[in-house]
Amino acid sequence: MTQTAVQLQRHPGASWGFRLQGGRDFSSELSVKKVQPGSPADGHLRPGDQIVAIGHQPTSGLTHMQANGLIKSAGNVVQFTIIRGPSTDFSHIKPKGPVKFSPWKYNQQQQQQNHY
Amino acid sequence: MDQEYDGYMEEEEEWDREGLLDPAWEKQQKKTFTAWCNSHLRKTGPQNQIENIEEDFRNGLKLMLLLEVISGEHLPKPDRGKMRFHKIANVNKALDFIASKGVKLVSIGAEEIVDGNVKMTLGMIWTIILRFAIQDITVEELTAKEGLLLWCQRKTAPYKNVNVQNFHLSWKDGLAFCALIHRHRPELLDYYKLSRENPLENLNTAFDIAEKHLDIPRMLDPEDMVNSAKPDERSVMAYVSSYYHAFSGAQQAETAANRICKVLKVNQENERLMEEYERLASDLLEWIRRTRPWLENRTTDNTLPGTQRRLEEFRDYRRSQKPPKLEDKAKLENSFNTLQTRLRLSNRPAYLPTEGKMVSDIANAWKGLETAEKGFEEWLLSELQRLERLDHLAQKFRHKCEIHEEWATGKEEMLQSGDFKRCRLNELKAMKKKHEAFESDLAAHQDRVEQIAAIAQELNTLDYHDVATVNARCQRICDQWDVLGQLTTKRREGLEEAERILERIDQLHLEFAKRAAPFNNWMDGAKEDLMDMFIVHTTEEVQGLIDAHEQFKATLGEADKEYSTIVSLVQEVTRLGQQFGITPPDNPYTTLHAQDITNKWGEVKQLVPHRDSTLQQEMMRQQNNERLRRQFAAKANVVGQWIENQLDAVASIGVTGRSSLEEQLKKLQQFDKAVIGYKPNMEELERYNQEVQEAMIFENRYTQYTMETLRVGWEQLLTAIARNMNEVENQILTRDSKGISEAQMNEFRMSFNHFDKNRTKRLEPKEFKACLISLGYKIRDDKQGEADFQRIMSIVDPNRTGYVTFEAFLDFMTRETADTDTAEQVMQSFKILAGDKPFITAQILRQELPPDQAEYCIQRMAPYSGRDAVPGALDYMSFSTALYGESDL
Repeated sequence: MTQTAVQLQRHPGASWGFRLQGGRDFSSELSVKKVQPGSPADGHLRPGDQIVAIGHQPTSGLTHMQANGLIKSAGNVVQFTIIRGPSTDFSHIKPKGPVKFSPWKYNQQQQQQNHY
Repeated sequence: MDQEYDGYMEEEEEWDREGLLDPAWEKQQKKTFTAWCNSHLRKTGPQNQIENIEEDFRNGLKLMLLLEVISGEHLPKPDRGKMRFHKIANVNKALDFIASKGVKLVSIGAEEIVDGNVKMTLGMIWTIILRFAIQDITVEELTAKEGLLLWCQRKTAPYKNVNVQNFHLSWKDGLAFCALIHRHRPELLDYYKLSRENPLENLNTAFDIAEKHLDIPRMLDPEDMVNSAKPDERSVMAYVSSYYHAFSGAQQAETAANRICKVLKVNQENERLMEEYERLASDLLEWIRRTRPWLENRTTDNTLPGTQRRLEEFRDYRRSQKPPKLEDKAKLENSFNTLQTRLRLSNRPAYLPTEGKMVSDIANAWKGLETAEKGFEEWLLSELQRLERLDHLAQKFRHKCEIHEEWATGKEEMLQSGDFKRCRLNELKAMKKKHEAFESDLAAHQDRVEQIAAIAQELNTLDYHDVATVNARCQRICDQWDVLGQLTTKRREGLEEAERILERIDQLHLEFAKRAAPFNNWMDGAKEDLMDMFIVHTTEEVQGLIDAHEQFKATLGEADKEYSTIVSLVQEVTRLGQQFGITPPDNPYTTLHAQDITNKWGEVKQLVPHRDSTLQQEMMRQQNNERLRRQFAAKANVVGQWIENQLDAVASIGVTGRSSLEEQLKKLQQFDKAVIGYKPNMEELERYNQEVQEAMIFENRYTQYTMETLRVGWEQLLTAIARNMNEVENQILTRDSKGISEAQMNEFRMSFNHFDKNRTKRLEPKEFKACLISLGYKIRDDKQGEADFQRIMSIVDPNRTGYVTFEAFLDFMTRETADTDTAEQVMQSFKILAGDKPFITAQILRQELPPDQAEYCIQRMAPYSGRDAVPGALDYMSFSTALYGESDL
C-alpha cells in the first residue's frame, strides 16, 4: 500500500465536509467515513481512506478527539497522509435481482474462453 | 393529484347539492369547528381566539392566521384596511392558499364569507380540516376518511364493547373515546369500570380527560351527542382527528426513544464484551506465562521420589489445570468472533484488541505452551526408568562390595603374620601350601574387584546422585587390593626361603584342602548368583532366568557328590584319630573347616527354593503387566475409533445436503451432548493408563493409540464441535439480522459447497471466482475482470491467507451496496425527541429514556454551543456520531 499526501483548503468558517472515524479509544484505524459532495474534501478524500498523519503528526496512538482537535486547530489549510485501499463499489458486476445458483454459468464462460 | 382527494371532494359536492343543512347538525358543527379553530389559534395568543365562527372570519385576518398556524407556512401580507374590498382581498388570499394545496373550492366565494354566510363558512372550515388535519392520515392507500376510520378500528380493537363503523352512531355511547384514551394513556382512566348504560358520563369523562391531559379542547357537547338521533359526522371527525394527532405525536417520540435505547444497549453490551475479552485474554496469557517455564524445566533432583513427584504434578496439570484453560481459550475465540460479528452487523468499527492480546497472540502463546508440553511426560518417564536402573546398579555394587569386604577382612594381618618362623617343618610346609592356595584364591577374586570397579565407573558415567560414597568405597577396596598383592608376594618369598628346611606332608589334609577350596569358591559363586538382582520387562525375560536357574539346579547332583567326598576326607581323619587314640592336629593346608563347607552347602541348598519363589513372583508380576497392557489396549482401540468417527461426522455437517442452520446447530448440540456423555470412557482410560504407568510399563504392542494421542484427539473433537457451533450461530446471527431467507441462504451454501471440492470449508481464489460467476457475478476474463476480482479478494481475505471462508463469503454476498448510515438514524431519533431542535436537554432525556440510558447520554453529551443554545442544552449530534467512532469536520 502506498502513502499519498493530500492538501485541503477551505474558506474561513466553512466546514471540511468529511466525517472522521476511529481512533485509539475505538480500537480501530483513523479513517474517512464519508465525504460531502461539493465540499473542500470532495475529490481529495474518499470513504475508506486511512489517515496515517495529520500535518507532520503521525496518527498512531491518537484518540479520536485528539485527531479531531488537531484537524480543527489546523486553520484553513490542512495536509493529510493517507493510504487508499481499492474501491468497494461492485454495483457494475453484481447480478440484478435475487441471487440464484446456476453452476452452468461458470461452465459456459469456460467454454466461451476455449472457443476463442 | 386530483384523484387522491376524491374521497372528500365527492362529499363536498354532495353536500352542495343538498343545499341546506340540518339545523341540529349546523349547531353541532358551529360549536365543534369553533373549538377546533381555537385549538390552533390559541397558540398565537388568547386575543386571536374566535367566538362566533360566521362573524370572526369575515375580515379574513384570523382566517389567514389560522392557515399559517396549521400549515407552518407564511401567507402573503394581509391588507390592513377596513374596507369591504380589503376584506375580500384577504379572504381570497386565504382561498388561494388553500387552492395552492391542491384543493378545489367548489362554489365557495370570498364575498359569501365576507357576508357571514354560515353554510359557506362551515364548508370552508371543513375543507381546511380535511386538508390539514385528516388528509395526512393515509393508511394503506385508503382515502383520508377511511384512513382515520381504520386507525380508530385498530386502536379500539382490543375493547370488546367498542365497534367503530362510522363517525356518528358508533361514538354516541362515549366508550370509543374512552377506549382511545385508555389504549394510549391507561393511567388516565379506569376503563373497565365504564358502562354502556351511562353515555353522558362516559362522554364527559373522555372530554374532560382529553382537555386536561391531552390538551384537546372540548369540541363536542355530550348532550348533543346523546340527544341527536345521528351526531354530525364532520364534527365527530374533526374532534377524533385531534385525538389522532395527540397520540401519533406521542407514538413517534416513543418509537424514537426505543430506537435510541436499542442503539445504546448494543454499545453497552459491546463495551462489556470487549472488557470481558481483554480480561479473559490477560488471565489466559498470564497463566501460560507462569506455566511455560515449569514445563520447559527438564531437570530433576536426580532421585526417584523427586522425579515421581514431578510426574504426579504433570498428571494434575493435564487433568485439572489445562482443560479449563483450553475451555477459556475456545470461549475467548468464540466471544471474539461473536463480538466482531455483532460490531459488523451493528455497523460499528471493528474491534482491535490491545497490543499483544490479539487472537493470533493467544494462539501463538498456546502453541508455545504445547511445544513446551510436548515430550515432557515422555522425558519424565524415561528419567524415572534411568533412575530406577541406577538404583539397581548401586544396590548391586553394595552387594558385591559386602561380599568382597567380608572376604578381605583379616587378610592383611594374616599375610603379615610371622607364624612360619616359629612353627615346625611340617607346619611350615603346610603354610607354604596354604599360601599357594591363598594366591589362587586371590586370583579368583581379581574378577570381582574388576567388576566392582566397572560398576563404580558406570555409576559415575550415569551420574548417580550419591556417587561420592561409591567412589570412596571403591577406592578403599582397590587400595587394599594392591596392598594384598604386595603382601602376598612378600610372604611367598619368606615361605620359599624356609622351604628348604621344612618338609612334611599330611596327604589327607592336603587332599581336603585341594578339594575344599575350589568347592568353597564355587559355593560362593553359586550363592552370589542365587542372590543376584535382576530387572526385566517381559515374561520372556523372566522365563530366560527361570531356564538358567533350572540348568543350575541340574548341576546340583554332581556338587553333592563332591561335597560328600570332601566331608568323607575329614571323617577319615577323625576316624583315624579315634582308631589310633590321638587328637588329630588342625589341618595345616587350609583354614577351611568341614563345618564351614557344611554350613555353606546348607545355605546354598536353602537359597535354591527361595530363588524359585522370587522368580515365580516376578513371573506373576509380568503376567499382570501383560493384563494391564491388554486392558488399556482394548479400551483405547474402542475410544480411539469412536473419536475418529465423531471427528469425521462433525466435519461433514453442513458440507452435504440442504439442512437448515437450525438443524445443523441441533445436530452439533447432539454431538456435544454425546461427547459429554462419553467423557467417563476417557476417564476410565486415564485410570488404566495410570495403572500402566505405575506398573512401570513403557511400551504396548496391542494398540497404536497412546494416552497422549487420545487426549489430543479428544481435545480436537471438543474444539471442532465448539468451533462449528460458533460458526453456525454466527451464520444464524448474520442471516437473521440481514433478513436473508432460508432459500437464499441455501443458494449461497449450495454454490459454496459445490466449489469446495476437497471439503476444507474454504475456497481457493480460483474456486471462489467460479462460485461468484455461478451466482451471476459478471467477472470478465480480461484485465478489468481480474482487477475487479482482486478488489473482491481484498475484502473477503483482508489478511491474504489465500483462502475464503464461508463466513467472509456470506458477508460479502449480503453487504449492502450503500452503507446504511446508522449514526444518521440515531441523530434523527434524537431530533424527534428534541422537537426538531438541534440540541436536547437533560430533562427531556430523563423524561423519554429509561434512567440508566438517560444518564449514559447526559454524562457523555457535550454542551451545545450553537447560537440558539439555551442553558443546559446538550449536543446530541456529536454524541450520535461518537457512538460509531465518528465525528463531522
